[in-house]
Amino acid sequence: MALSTVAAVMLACALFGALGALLGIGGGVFLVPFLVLVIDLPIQFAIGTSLLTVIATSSTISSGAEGKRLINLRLGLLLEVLTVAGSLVGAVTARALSPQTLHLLFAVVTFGISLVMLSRLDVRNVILDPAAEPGELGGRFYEHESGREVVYRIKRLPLAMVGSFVAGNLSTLLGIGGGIVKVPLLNAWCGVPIRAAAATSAFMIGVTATSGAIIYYGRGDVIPHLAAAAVLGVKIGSFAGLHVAARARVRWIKLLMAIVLMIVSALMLTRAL
Amino acid sequence: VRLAATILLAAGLALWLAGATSPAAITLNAGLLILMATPVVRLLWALVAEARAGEWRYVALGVVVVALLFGSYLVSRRGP
Repeated sequence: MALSTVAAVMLACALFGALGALLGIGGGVFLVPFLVLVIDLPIQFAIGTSLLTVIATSSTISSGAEGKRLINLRLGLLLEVLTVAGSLVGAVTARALSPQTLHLLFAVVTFGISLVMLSRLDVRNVILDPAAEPGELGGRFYEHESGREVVYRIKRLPLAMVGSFVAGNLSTLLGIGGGIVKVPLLNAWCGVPIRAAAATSAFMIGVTATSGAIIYYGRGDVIPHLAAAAVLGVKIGSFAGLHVAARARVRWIKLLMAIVLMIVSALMLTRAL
Repeated sequence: VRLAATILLAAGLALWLAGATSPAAITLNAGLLILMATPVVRLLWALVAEARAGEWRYVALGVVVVALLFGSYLVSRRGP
């Protein structure tokens, strides 16, 4: 693999990192298909590389001052137990599945995600009365937009736990962060405001991806210099993306992403058949 | 710590591109290992904070997560 491959991976990763930061998801859903379809890497190498970039993105978000303020550590710890368990099960099943099945699964999941995105184009989060009690797992934080402290309670905890297990499973199986499953779930059904949901998910994703990355790395399914190029690219991209994110028109980006994901899904499907 | 991983990965990549394959491999792998260690360190910090607050149930949850991470290390060694 030559210089051009390294340059291409780095450049593409910068783009995926920026898109991921804009959308509040990792770049994994784009990176895995890119490595498989364009660089022609076997899917398990693509997954290993992608998981390493997920760790990098997660660290960038959760070490920032804004991230630290919004992370709900207790909720994160509780859900992380289920997520890492799901991730371990995913690692074991990944070995049993053929590349064709993995391609097919990736196609199905990306299609599902694009539908979720389309259905959430206009979703606005409801903020609870600040006088309310947050309960044991809930939280409160100062919100810049409204200029006051907001409080939230956790609803439907069992659902959040099941979702976390599934997210962890998909993460290690497909090399995505799993935030794409957890953020909408926590936000739409469990009462967590979108910013707290995204920050808490970012914190969890780093740990989940580490669980997966350890396994892929330990099995030798990582090409160090390509992984380095990918991680550096994603770091540059997500840094740039986070700065643009505040001003971006999220609705159009979501729409564009949904379309791109459908194309990705179709391409992966052709690989599966 | 985060910066250390980035610097090592950038240096390793530069070495690899310069054709110095074996020092590149050491630097790149060190960078990747530090990268994988960062979320674990963050998790341990959270555990220390909960322990100071006397919230032992959350400490227990965190210990389970660390144990599961160790489990994934074991899977990578002998894995099915």
